[in-house]
Amino acid sequence: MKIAVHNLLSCGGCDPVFFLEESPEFFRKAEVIFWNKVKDETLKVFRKIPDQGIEIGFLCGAVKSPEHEEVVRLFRRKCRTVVAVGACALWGGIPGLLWIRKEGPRPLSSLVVPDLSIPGCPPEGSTWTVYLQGLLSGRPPGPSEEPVCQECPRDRHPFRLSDFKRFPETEPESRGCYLSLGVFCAGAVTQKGCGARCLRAGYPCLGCYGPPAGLTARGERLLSAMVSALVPQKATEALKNWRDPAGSLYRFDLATHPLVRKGKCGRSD
Amino acid sequence: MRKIRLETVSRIEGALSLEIKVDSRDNLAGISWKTDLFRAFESLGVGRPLEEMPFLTARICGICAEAHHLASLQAAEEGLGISPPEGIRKIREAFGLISWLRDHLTVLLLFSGPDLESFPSPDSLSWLEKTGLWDLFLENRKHLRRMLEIVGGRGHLALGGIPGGWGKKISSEERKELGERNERVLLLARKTWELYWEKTVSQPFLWPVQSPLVALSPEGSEVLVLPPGKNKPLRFPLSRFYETLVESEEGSFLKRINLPPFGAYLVGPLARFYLFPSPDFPLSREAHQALKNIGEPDLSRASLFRAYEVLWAAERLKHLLPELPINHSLSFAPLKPVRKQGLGAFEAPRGLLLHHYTFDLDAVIKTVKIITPTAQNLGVISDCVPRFWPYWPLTEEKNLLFEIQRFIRTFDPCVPCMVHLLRNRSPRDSSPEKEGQRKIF
Repeated sequence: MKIAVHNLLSCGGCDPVFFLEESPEFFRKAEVIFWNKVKDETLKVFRKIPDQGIEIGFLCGAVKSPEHEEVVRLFRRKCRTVVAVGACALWGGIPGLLWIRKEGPRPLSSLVVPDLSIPGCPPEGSTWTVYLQGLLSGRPPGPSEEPVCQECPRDRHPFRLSDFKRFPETEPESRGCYLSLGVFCAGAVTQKGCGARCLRAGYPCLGCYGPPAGLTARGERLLSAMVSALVPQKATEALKNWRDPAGSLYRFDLATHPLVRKGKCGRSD
Repeated sequence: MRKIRLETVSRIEGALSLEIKVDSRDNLAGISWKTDLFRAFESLGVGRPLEEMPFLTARICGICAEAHHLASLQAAEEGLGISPPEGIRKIREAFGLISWLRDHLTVLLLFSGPDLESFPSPDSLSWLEKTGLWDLFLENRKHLRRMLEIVGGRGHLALGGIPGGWGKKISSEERKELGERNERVLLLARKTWELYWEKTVSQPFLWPVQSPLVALSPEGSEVLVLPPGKNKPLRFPLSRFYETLVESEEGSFLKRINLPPFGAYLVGPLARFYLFPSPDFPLSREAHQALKNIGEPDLSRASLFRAYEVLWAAERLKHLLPELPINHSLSFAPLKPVRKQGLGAFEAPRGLLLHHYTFDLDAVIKTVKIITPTAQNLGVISDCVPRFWPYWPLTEEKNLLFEIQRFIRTFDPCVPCMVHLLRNRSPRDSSPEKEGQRKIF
């Protein structure tokens, strides 16, 4: 099986996880045609490959420059299956926060339609395996409908809030749901699949697996849930003291927000 | 005047292209490099809560994420006026060592390995297959990922660190598992050292270092600077070193970092070797002694020093693991800065890494400055290319490009880490020259 791998605007962290750690058997059997981490071939060589001559092309990272755009279109042409890997490729990722200043990257799905989208920053090894096995067996999976809360070890119960908190302001050994502690945990509006890794390491969910299937306006829904829990007399003060709204609600996917797409996202958000 | 273009420098982290201008007498007239990997982390950090910086900055680089995580934690803690307890320090040290091992082994066995062969070199996969280390390398990537998961909570772009503490507890079974997996890593470390020693030691010296060597002192409070030809390093308090650094931009896209009065300086494994004391562990002590006997610092042997550090890190980890606290109690630092700024430093696999933040009284970030090892080494690369140019095979373009790439790879440059090195420009209002190109000398 001929494969190609390329990083666009990315940290370069997604691809080694899968090929070197999670599924080396797949990697060994595959014929790597293009991957500049291990081969000396340049894009010049890649351009000469016949259209549809590669079975799977893996693209990691977001799109910012004309060169990125060219590579994305080239992959679509040369590869029978294009796999978008990681939060940057799917939604712009952390660098998408630059849209607060009206200048950021775009997800690659804004240029071409990938055949498979693997979520995460980075995708956990098990996620890679599930998605790729699905692809190879002809049943590529889509996003889960269930949220990270399904995998979270913390205790859930009804709650009311008098203020929003930053997670280091909570009791460190508390086992309660971060939302009930007033922390903007993105678990409720993020698809499961990561095993709630960050929550098991003391952090709230920061949302890197993106929205569950069918959920739109995930940030606004999270905000709505939190504001609904506020004691009315305290709501104004809580919202006034809340820092970093865009980062809290759309940490990995601001680049896909309708306000960004319409060019209306700015510092005054 | 002819131009030689290289679309992608291969086997490095990130995408970098080169254009070399050569005059009619084969003299080097200019070299420019270009990347479009700018992600403006210094800019997007502004306005974010301080406690999120260790998580966010780990996304700067998928290879040395843990180094950014640790440097960021230290910067945050300095601003908050707190110092983590001894047990937490040990967990962080173990976390850093595991990431060193993964980074160095990947660089040695996947990126720079084929450079041990003469031109034309094989690709990494064929080379690794030929050495017989392919299976052991892949096995160890898995071990190291699991080790990071045990210590940091995630196997990749791991987190764990929270200002004032560490969020992932380690059970006694997990600590035992760490020890068992590290034994396998130590085996690969030994084999990698032996391979590099055998292939490198008999080769001639090619690229002697004429720049000062710089490294963070082992206890982390000072920066050591060894000027060329000297035996005893100068010692700078960390904050003074940081304040002494001078950046030159000169209208270019890339920045260059100089240490007055020396100018360009080198960080990384080679610098650490000449600045750190001899280790106490049997295998790395023997390797250290062998390296000491080979003579003056030489860039063509940089990978050998990296291989030595793999050995050292695996042995140090073996020594450290039994001391890791079991199921430590969690603690968070109060978000009340006692200073308006914080400086964090960490010896990343590629060299000294600095994170500097200023923040307001609510611990919200006002400015971010991140000086990466690649940013610091850029000056040395720039100075060395014209110096070594006459010794490269100028008439055969493919061979020349191979030699230049081989030279660049000795620094193990990391393009995603060039967060500070590149200045942001809007794609809308910049020409290709403004966007990413600059003559580096």
